[in-house]
Amino acid sequence: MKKCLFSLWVWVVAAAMVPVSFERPPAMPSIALALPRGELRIGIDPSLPPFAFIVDEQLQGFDVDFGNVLGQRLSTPVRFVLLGYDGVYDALYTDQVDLVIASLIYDSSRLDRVLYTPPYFDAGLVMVTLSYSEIANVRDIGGQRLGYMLGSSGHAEADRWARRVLPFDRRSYLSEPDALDGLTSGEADAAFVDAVAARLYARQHPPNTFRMTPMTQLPYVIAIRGQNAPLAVLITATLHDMHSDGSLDVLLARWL
Amino acid sequence: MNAKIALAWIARIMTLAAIIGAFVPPAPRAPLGTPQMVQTQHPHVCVHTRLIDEVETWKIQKTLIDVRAMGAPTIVEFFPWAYLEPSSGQYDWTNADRIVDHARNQGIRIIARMGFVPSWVQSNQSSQTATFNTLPTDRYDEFAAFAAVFAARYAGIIDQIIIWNEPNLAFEWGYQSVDAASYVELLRIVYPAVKALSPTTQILAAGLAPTLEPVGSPNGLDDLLYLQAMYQHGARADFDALAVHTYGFTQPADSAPAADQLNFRRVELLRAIMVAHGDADKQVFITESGWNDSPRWVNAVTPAERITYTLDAFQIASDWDWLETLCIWMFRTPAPTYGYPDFFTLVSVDFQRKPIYMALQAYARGFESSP
Repeated sequence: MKKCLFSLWVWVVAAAMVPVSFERPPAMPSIALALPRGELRIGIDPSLPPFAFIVDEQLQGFDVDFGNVLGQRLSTPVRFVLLGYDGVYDALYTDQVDLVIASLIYDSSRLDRVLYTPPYFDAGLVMVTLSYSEIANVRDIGGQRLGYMLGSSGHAEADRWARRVLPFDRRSYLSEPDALDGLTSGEADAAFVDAVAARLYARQHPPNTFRMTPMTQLPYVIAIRGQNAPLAVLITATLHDMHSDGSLDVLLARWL
Repeated sequence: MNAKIALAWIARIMTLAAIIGAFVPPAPRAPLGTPQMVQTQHPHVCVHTRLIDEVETWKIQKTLIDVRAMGAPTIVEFFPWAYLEPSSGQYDWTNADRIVDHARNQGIRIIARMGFVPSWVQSNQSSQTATFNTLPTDRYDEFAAFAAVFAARYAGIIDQIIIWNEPNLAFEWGYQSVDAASYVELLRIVYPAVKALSPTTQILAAGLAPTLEPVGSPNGLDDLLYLQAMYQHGARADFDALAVHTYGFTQPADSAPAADQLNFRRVELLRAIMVAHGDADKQVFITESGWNDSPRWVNAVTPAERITYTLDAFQIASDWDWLETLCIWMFRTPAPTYGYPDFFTLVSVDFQRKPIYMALQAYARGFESSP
């Protein structure tokens, strides 16, 4: 009898575990639920090239292409709403837009009203060296010549590293491209610039001319109206697909 | 026996805690210390701070020490109504008091910017449409009552209060259509209420956002047109001085003003409107100005240009006898925005002084050179 009861208990436990063992993908909300207006209203700040800018009254940039691809993948027409930086969150709160793509960073103080996707780009600082350089990481800059733009984040980062590594020779430039010119001309052995400047500069040179070592993180995310969880699920899934199939990288490479 | 063992363990744990505690640094404190004075050769130098969101008092003190060290005798600070009157008639002055106390101790005067509507005022508003800038017209008198109590409490250290911020922008007007007549009505209600409790407090009409938005734009209205509309609706009797926001964007400080251009000297056009409407005797307070040196923003300049243009702006402004202050936006933020607004600041979040700070300090204090 005891043996029989034990067998029954084993089967009951096994049966209870079956649904747990096979993780099912979460059900996708319907587009109609996420976007009842039948369109995707994207808030965008057109003052940030190469992400969003206006040329001859035409809105252009990565954010624009990215928004259009999101719309295509969701089979939904897209409408861009131009916003100034100061007003992007208020536009989201007041339902002027469904989401914002504007080089935004995750902000924990807004989580009561905003949902964020995982990052789509990291705009943090990078250390740029020539690809054959012996400087493999930031700790190797001791005794070397370091370029950066006067007053930039790279300048501030150089100040921080000056307290951590052996003394290095500082080369201050008036712009980030100037700092990178200093690297290619041999005036500097490495440069601290942001990832956007580094990628834009590298585009103008043969592939594999430079090596970029990430130093800080500045992950750009999409902000979605907090009351629209279905849209957050859809956009996050679409972003995941774009990461997986490489289309996000292709899109980024088009602009930077 | 068991009780003895337990007591022994308690004694051991307490001893260990005492030893660990001896190595833990105490929380930073910020006693006021000896009262200070600002040493400056240019008293119109001023900065806009953002202290109200600081959690730790020592950061407020450190900011104000750095402002004093730079040679700025005046700050503009935001005092959100929602923070100070969290429920109707119930005031919480804790945060405002510590800012005022530390500013007074550093010898710095404050210009207060008022706004930010409490949720109890918006209780009848739909959550779909209200922001912290949405003030229903039938609640103007409650804002006026708050402004009056505030002005009376801080009279002597805060002698100017700015009523609202950039009401010519839709989002600053609660994402409603901008309406100069309605803003003038707000001034008309606030002005006598404040004067009744604090007669010496000056009412500053809000700094308008420098913008070229045409009539009918959903985003806002050109600041020149808005100021003219304010006068047409009889604003002249309802403010003592004008706050002005004038940014250089990508143009040098000496670029000539023009109605279709946004640059530093646009303030001269606003001044001309004041004069044309009989307000030549009123002073102007530039409460936001400056250049941005973000490497990404389309309206930014390089850090070196920012320094040059900013110093030129102070030089130009020193000839304007109608100007009371030129306040740079902004000194420091409590936390990084990780966007181009970070490139308006003079010191970083971790109090690193930027080259622009050193240059302004050299100008204000009369040092021979800046780094």
